[in-house]
Amino acid sequence: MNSLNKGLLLVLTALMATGCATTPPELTDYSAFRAEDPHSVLIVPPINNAVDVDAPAFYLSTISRPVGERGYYVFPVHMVKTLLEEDGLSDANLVHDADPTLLADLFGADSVLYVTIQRWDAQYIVLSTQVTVQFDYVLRSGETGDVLWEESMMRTYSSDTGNSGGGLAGLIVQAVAAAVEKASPNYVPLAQQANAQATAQAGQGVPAGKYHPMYGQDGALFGQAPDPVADAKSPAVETSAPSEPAAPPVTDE
Amino acid sequence: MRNLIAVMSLAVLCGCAPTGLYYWGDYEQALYAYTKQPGEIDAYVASLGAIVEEGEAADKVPPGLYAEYGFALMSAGRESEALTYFEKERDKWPEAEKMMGLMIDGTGLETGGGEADAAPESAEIAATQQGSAAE
Repeated sequence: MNSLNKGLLLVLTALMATGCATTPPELTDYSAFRAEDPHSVLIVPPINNAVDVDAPAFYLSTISRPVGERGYYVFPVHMVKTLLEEDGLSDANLVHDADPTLLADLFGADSVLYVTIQRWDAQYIVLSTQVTVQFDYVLRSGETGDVLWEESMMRTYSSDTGNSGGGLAGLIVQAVAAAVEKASPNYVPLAQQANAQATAQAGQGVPAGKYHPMYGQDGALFGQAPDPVADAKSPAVETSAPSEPAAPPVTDE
Repeated sequence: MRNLIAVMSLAVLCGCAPTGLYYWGDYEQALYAYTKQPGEIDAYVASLGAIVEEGEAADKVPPGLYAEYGFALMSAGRESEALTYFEKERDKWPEAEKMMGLMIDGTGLETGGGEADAAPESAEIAATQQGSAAE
């Protein structure tokens, strides 16, 4: 081990210790994904199981960036949605029930990403508003229709700052903050966090695609036979994850 | 050793901020606003146009963005400009070839050359000459 490597390792360890990295609790089987090696992803409109009717439109605007940034060609989501509607597929449930290989063939896509919005809500609890989003992701092969990757992700945010000062004034500040959050919950950043974690998390996300600098070099983290160094023996991997999918509300920054 | 460094580099890259392969600007807000108010097509076209411009300057135009912009231009009645951006999408991303081929055929305006660098000025003029189609 030369000194450059040592230095690099030190820097990386420091970076990981600052709370960026997460420990993959289990390793996903990437054999089907690796065998197909999709280069493009057709993202179809999400199914909405939440009460908020605005959720799908909000959501659809958040998903292109994280998938594109993983190195995949992402079909233009609004254009795709409009073309499907013109084809009589304006109901997302119909799209999700359609044969993935036919959908993929229509656009020339290697794979199709189906997202189901399970939660998109804001609950007022005592003096705070708790905002929650939860999504299920399924990526299917455009060739065979088989599942290549799936993930589920929930993120929660609470308006309760917890340190807004004591006494009546503090309570009023909290109540106002909660009311504001309840009136206009800011779902988009939460959805973006959920998408980013779902797609990029080591061991569980989507392997780097054709346009990503790590393409073809991340087998240790996104392979069915992980390299031994990825095991918990590495001290860096002991750094605990601050953000479990079902973690309690994040109360501050 | 090299493996360990690779793994850790990846973990650092993945766990943190976006890696920034592309310039997305305010794409999310623009798309959402337009979805909620489809009458605001001009604002949507302007927003996407700004992203394309910035993205081209940095050579970081995101996948699908030329196509989305072209589709927005088409919705605004600016077909000849739309064609330019459908061709750009097709020429930049081989994965888009089939879809863009269909869209280009759909405009009925194909130039046959597939030049991706038609001057924006001439496209602007063409749009102006189309009169109030965008209304």
